[in-house]
Amino acid sequence: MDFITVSNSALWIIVILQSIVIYALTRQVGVLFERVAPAGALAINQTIEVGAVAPNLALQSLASTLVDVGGKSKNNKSQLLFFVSPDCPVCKTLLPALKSAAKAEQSWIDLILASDGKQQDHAGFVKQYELSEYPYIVSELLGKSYGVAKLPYGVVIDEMGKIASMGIINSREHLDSLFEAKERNVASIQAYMQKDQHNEEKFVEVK
Amino acid sequence: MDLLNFTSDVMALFLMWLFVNASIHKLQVDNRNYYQQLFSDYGLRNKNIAIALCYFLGVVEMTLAFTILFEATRSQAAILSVLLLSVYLIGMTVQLIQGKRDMSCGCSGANSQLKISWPLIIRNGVLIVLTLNCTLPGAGFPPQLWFAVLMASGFMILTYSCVENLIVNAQKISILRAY
Repeated sequence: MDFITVSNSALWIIVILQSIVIYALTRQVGVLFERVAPAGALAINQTIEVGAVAPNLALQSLASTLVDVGGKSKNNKSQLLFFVSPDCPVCKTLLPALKSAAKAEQSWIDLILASDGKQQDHAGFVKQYELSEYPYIVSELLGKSYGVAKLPYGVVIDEMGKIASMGIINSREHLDSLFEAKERNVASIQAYMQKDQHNEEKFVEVK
Repeated sequence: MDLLNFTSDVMALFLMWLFVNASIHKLQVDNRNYYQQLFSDYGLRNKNIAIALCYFLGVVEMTLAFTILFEATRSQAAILSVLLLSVYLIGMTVQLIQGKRDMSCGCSGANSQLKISWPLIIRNGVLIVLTLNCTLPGAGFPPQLWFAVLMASGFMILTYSCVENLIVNAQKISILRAY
């Protein structure tokens, strides 16, 4: 065999090997996308479900005003019922993001903060984190009615008084996922992502 | 011997792989429901006609896969292949113009995550142009060139698979962007 033949054969083999590597890379990128698909708020709840009518309660806030939770909206806005606690570190970390989200989405949603426990603890909490511009309800009944077992927990109630989305919130991304889920009319972002793929098993199942 | 005769052989081998793959998916009984649903999305609602068409296309593709290999039938097979690919392309384009996006393309079987999209139309357009090359006579797979023909078709198959993966990835990225 002369040099040209050997060289030509070697080059072809290199081209094929490199093509195999590129093919493997494109496959891996695809798999990676499936693995890192956005995880929305974890919608664990045994009392209420998305699409059901939200429990309608009229409760007194810390500022002694009556707040209607659930029911058909009077101002045609949705409600974000956000369950927090003064002794929940994650809740405190999330508060700036929560206030920012509430401000950004104020045209269509009202933020209502909810908790339970002693009134005086919450008063200090509201003052420290400057939450006075939002209704703050301290009620054990509210948490029980909405089946809240873990904090921080968010529930979006649409204008018609139905549960639009809900879940445990650990980040701004989770919070946004509640709004996205409502906008896209899906139970959760996980449900949306799965709906968009033929092979459901390939996504990280978090729901 | 011309370069175009050489590429005609390369494309013939590549198209054989492509059509055998496509045909196997259509002829598999397990995929019957998938293709029936797919044809229904394309507007063919009659179940029996959809199944018959699926088998018919499978047989046509398998026939094309082997007739395109031989010098005597290559030109006619290439013209039929161009027509078949054009029908697929027009079908997808019509669906896209109608605004459908969330629809499987049916290109790579039931497990494929590929959906109809404009990049897919471009890929099929390129495929049609490349298939036209097979209307020219081949080099006849000469012994001194078989290695190069085999390697070049292998390269085509891998490149085609990479492009398909990239389109699937792009579609996933667009889902994440929408999120």
